[in-house]
Amino acid sequence: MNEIVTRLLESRRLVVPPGDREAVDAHWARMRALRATVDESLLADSEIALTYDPACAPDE
Amino acid sequence: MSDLAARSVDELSGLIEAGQVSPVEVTRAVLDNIGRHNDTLRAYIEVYRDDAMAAARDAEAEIASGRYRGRLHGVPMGVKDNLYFADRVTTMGSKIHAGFVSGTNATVVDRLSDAGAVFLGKLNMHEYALGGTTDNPFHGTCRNPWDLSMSPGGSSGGSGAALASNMAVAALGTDTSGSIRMPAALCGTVGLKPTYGRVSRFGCFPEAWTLDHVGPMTRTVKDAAIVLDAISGYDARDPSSLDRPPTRTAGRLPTTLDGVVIGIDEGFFLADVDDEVERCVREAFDALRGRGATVRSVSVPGLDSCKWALATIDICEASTVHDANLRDRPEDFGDGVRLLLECGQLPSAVEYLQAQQIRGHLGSTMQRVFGAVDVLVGPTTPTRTPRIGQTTATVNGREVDASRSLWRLVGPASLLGLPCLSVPCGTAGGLPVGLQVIGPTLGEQQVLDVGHVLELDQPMGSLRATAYLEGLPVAD
Repeated sequence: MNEIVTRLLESRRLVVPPGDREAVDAHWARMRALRATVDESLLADSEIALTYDPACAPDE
Repeated sequence: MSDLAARSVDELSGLIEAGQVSPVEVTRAVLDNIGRHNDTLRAYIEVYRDDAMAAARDAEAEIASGRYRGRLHGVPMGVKDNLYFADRVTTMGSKIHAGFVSGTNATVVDRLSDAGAVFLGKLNMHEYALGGTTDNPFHGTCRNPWDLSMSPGGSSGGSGAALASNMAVAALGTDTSGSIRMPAALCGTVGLKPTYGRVSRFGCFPEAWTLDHVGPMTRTVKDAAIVLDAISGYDARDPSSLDRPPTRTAGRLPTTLDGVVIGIDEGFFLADVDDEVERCVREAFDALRGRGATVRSVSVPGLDSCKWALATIDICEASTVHDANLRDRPEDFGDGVRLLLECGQLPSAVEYLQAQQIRGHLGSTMQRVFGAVDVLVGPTTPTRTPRIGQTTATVNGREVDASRSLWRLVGPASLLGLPCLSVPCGTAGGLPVGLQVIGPTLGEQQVLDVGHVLELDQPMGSLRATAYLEGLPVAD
C-alpha cells in the first residue's frame, strides 16, 4: 500500500480490510491526478490577503 | 379509459378534477403494473398497496364532495427510500438502516400529503445514495426498462425505472452529485435538481449535507413543475432552507423561447462525448433555435476543477456522516460504498477547504456567465448507457470508467447548487439521451421553460421503454 495512504489511515485510526487496500490506493492516485489539474487561481480566497507586497503597502 | 398509468400528472389531474377518472382507478392501474413488473425491475423496495388504495378512496370521496386540493390530488407517486415516512421503515437502500423507523415525515412528504398525493411506496436506490448504478446488494439490482441488461443509473434509479415502466405517475429523487439527473437521462424521463435550499432537506437522510437536494422526477417537464410547486418553499426545520415562497412555475411555461439566450461551453460539455449523444444534443439545439432561442458559445473558466472539488467535498462529508458505522461495523456496508467512505477519510482539512474555495470562486464566475446567457446546456451524461455489473461505459466504441464519466457533466450544477433539469432529447443505440439545462440560482422557471419547449418538439417521437414488458429471460 502507498506509504502516504498507510500513514494517513493510521493517523485517522481507521483499519481498512486487506481486500480494499488496492482500490483505496487507486482512488488516492486518481485524486492526486485530479488535484494536479486544478486551476490554482481558484484557491485564493478573495477575502484574504494571501501575499504581502511592500510596494503596495499604504504610506505611513 | 386505457392506459391510465401511462398518463402524465397534467393529463390525469384534469380528468380527476372533472370526475372523469377516479384516483382509485389510476392507483389500481399503477399498482397492477407494480405487481407485474417490480420483480423484474426492482424499482420499489417496499410497496404500500393497501394504504395506497385507502388513500385513493379517501381522495375520491373528498373530490366528490367538492374539496379538490389541486393538481396532485389523487395522483399516485413513489418516493425514494431515503425520505422519511413517519412510523414506517426507511432503509436508505442499506443493510445498516434496514429497520430504521422515523418518528416524523420528511417535509416533502408532508407537503405532498397536504397536496393530496397517493403514496405508492419507497423506491430503490444506490446504498446510501453513494453511487450511480442502483445495483443494490441488499434490496436487489434495479434494471433499466429500456434494456434489462442496462443500468438505470443512480442513485435514484428506482425512481427513473418506475416512471419509465408506468409504475408511478410521478416520483421524488435526491441529487448530491447527479443522482436525479443521471437516472432521468438513462431512463428517458425528466429530473429536476432545484437550487440548493429551494426544497427542504428535513427528513432526507444526508449523503453530503452541503450538496444534497430533493427534487421531482417525472415523465414530462410540466409534471416536474407541478411537483416542484408543491414541495418548494421555506422550511424552518432545514437550516439551509432559503426564505422564499413556494414556486409557481407550472402555470407559466411558455410555447416559444423568443429572446432567450442559451449558452454552451463546448470545451467542457461536448469534450469527450459520444458522437451519437452529441448528435442528439445538437439536434436539441436546432429545435430550441426553431422555437426562437439564440444558442451561442460561451466559456466558463475553471469548470474542469469541479471534478476534484466535488469529489473531495462529497466523500469527506459522506464519510463524516457514516464515521461511526465505518469504524464499528464496516462489514455491513456494500463493498463499493465502504471503499468510498474509506477514501473520504484521506483528504486533509486544508484540501476540503480548498475544495470549498474552488466552489466559491466558480460560483462567482458562473454568476457572471448568467449575466450574458439565461441558461447553459449540454448532455447530461457523455457516454452510452453502461451495462449492469460493468465498471466501464463506451464513448465512440472506447471503454471509459463509467462512474467517473457519468458524474463529469452533472458536477458543476451539483457543486454550485444551481437548478438543473435533465430532459430526454433522443436516443443513442436505442437508449435514451438526456439534455441538461442549468440555470442561475433560483432560476427554476428558466430551466423548466427551456425543457418544456424542447419537449413540445417531441424529440423522443413515439419511443417508449418496452423491454421490461417481456420480463427477464429464463436461465437455462
